[in-house]
Amino acid sequence: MNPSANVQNVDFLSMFQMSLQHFQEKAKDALMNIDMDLRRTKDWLDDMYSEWKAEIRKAEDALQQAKLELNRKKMMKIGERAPDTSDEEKRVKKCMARLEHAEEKLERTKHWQRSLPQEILNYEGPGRQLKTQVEGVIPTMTALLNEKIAVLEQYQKLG
Amino acid sequence: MSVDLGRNTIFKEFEVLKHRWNETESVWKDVVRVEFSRDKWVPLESSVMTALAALDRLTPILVQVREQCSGGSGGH
Repeated sequence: MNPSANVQNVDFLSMFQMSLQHFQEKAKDALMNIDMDLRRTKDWLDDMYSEWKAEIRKAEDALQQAKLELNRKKMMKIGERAPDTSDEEKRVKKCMARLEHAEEKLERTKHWQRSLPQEILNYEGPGRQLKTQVEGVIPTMTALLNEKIAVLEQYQKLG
Repeated sequence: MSVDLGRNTIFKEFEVLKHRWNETESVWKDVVRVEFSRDKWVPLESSVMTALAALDRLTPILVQVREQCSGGSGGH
């Protein structure tokens, strides 16, 4: 028997070939979407950097205003009694917390702006390798299978 | 998140393909199959596994980035 025809069931080869093509399509789309998402994440981080910078400016302004209101209230003595400044103090604390939160977020954003590109780079090597397999090697696999199936079908006709 | 979705698609679709390959391998018994396996299938399987491992490392990092840098809505 011709050794190249030593396949008991040509259908298995055909099904495998179809699955290979299906995998190629799905993996190609998935890899493209992954790349797009990674680019979007980097852009998003840059947007967040600008947003947190702006938020810090707003929080600083609000804190300054709150402190001014607190000082103004402190000076508003009614007789000998010290004015009740609890609301203004609460507001100052709230503004300080808002500022700290924004500063912390900005620091985290700056950290990831520096670190994320390296993390992405660690994926990009294997990702590119898979892309080469999917776009370059799978077509050669399906072509080879095509030839094999054609030979087997021819062989079956003769038999 | 597309990275997570993409990773799951590659994993799931490759599992199906691997199953088909195992079936095919069991009935394809000649030297061409041996060469095909060595030169084509094994490198493909290896690159899928390596890419999946890299995505498994990257995915939690991306979740962390979104959690730590977003304004509370959980990211983009």
